[in-house]
Amino acid sequence: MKKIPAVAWREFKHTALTKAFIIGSIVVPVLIIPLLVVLPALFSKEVEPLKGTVVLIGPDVLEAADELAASERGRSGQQALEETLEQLPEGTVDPLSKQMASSMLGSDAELDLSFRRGEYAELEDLKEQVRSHDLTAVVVLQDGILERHPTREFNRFEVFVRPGLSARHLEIIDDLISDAVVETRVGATGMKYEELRTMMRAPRSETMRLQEGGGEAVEYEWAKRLIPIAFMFLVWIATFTSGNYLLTSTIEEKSNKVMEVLLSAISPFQLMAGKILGQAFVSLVTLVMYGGLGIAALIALSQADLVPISMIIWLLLFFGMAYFMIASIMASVGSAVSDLHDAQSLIGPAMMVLILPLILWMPISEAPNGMLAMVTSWIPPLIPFIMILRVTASGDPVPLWQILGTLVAGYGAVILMIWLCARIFRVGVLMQGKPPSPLQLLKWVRYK
Amino acid sequence: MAGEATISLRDVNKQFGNVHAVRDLSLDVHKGSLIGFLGPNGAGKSTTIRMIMSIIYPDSGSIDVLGDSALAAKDRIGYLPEERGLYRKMRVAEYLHYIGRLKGLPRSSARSAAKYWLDRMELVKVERKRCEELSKGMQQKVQFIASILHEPDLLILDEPFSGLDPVNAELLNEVIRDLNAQGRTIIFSTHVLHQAEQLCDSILLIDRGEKILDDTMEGIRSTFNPRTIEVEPVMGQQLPVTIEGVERRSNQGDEGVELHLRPDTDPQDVMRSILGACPVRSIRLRRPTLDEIFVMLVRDRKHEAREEHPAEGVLS
Repeated sequence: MKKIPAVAWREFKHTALTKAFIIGSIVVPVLIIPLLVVLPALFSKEVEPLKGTVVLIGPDVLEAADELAASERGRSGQQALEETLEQLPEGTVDPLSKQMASSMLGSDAELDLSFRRGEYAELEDLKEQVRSHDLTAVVVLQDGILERHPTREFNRFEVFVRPGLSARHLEIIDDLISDAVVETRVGATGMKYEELRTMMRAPRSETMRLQEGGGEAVEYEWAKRLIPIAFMFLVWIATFTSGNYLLTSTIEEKSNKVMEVLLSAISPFQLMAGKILGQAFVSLVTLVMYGGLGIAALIALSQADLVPISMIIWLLLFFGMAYFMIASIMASVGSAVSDLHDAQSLIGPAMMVLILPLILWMPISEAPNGMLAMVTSWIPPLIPFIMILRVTASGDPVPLWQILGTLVAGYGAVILMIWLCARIFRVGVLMQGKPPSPLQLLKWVRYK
Repeated sequence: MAGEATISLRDVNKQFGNVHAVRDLSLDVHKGSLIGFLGPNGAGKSTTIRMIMSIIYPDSGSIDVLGDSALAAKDRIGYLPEERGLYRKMRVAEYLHYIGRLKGLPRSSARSAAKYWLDRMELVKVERKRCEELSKGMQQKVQFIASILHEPDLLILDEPFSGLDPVNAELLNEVIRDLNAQGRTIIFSTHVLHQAEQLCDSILLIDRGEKILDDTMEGIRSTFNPRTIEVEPVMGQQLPVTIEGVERRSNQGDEGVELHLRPDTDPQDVMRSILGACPVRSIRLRRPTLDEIFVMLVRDRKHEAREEHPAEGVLS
């Protein structure tokens, strides 16, 4: 048994301690963190001020446009953001995105626009002035745009902007004119637009979930949606990345003809066990690194209580189950084929099944104790992924008996799969040439 | 050669689908012997060796290696398989340490053994090189070192000379002799029969999974009577076109002619008739080489197979 650690160490060293892995899996993510801090600062520095004159042709919205431009000048980007976010439905934006948007909009584009009226007759002259940067834009409003019930045909305006005007600046001008049109229409009915807008602002809700044993906890709607898929995807990536390394390294040992040398020193089971263990550590490094980054981000946003220790323990247990299932499949497929192309045809059916949790993410996150979730969490290859979705999604906890039951069933399936795959591995590693059919793989299991 | 058997096979059978790769094979390899394991392509040599190594298992029969199964004795066996290779990206020293560790050597012993054998096999300054940077011959020597690093009691070498130039083949020859002189049992299979003839003290020949020859070199020489006459006529003289009892002749240039006799012919009668017909510079009755014995035995079996099953092809 002391030979298994030697195989595991070689497998780990030649996967995780290589330039490709270190750069791809460690350096890039680590560089992303400072980038998250630096990028917003770079964004804010790049915002050009929006200055100049806009000429309005058609129905008169000049007063409203001037007022809106003046009020925008006095309102900070932060205020604008907060007001906008308040109007969005609950759970649409997560705190991390909010913080990033906030830092990006912290120093909003400087706005110094003035408006004046123009005539249709001078449109071509005005366009020339826009081209030569004397004007910022010319806006032509349709005649019926200020009607109380404007038809689709007339409810539109055209904006002529100078070459090179940024999309962001164009959006600001568009919004100002749209708001000015609506404000003028509302003003014509005798109502005050500001009051109307304030009245239309949707109220915010804060959900408190009552706990079984008493007490209450704040319900974070966005986390309920995001954390399960984040955790499941993390486990999916960590297990499949290592599974893929296992597949390629086994195929390499076969194609390099080093397999028989190894089998003269150790049994096929020892070799497979060592390889699976070595890649388990590679997978764990990936999981801890990316998971750690996520948890660090939550701590930075004071949201650490969203991921309690018990959730991390369940996550690790189900990660182990997922890894050993995937790894045993990959090792046996790698042993049975001579190149990656052949491997794809054998892995295809397994992948079809294993992709199901990604498809079922939404309905299971919505109803973690629903019928679909309950049924799929007892199907062996899906158990770890579905259970990760359930234990991380539920505000209403998954019954403990179901967690323990699926752990027993899942690890039972892991033992069975490792046994089956070891039977295939011991025959497959010595086979060359045409890849076997699934039926032949079953025959290999029965070989003496 | 009598003595303690290092390897003992009894009625071993192995079938792959419809192909009977090994058929009722029984043999003993005695401790300290150097045995050549010969046979045509597809004869079942590699299958037998793999079964001896417990890499695959027989369908029936028993295999005893070093008093147990090869699985239990893996650390006492060195094996150079026919299908061999190296980790291309691994450095030579690291590869040898790894194989040494898998063969049960402690880390420090693996390191010192690798260093000793790299020197002994004249592979200097290659420790830090990646395996893919070595020439084919150098790779072959590294693979050989990997099989003997842990000082095995039993060494199984499948085609050890393939890919080696004559100088390195001679070096390997010398090392194999030294290892055998130290009391290690060595089995090697080869297609280069004159090497087996020079090196081995006994020969095991199998064909289509069955043993057809298992004897010491001396036993083989005494069993197979000389059937070839080498004649060098005096300058300007020619041998008669037909000589009774001669099956075929092959011209050896300046060194004369080789006459291969029919099985039922007495060589002495043929030599007498040659001396009576033509003045010769030299005439000698030559022992059959291992190549000739090999060809003769395998060819005879092919004839038998054709006679028994005229419609079937012969397994090659």
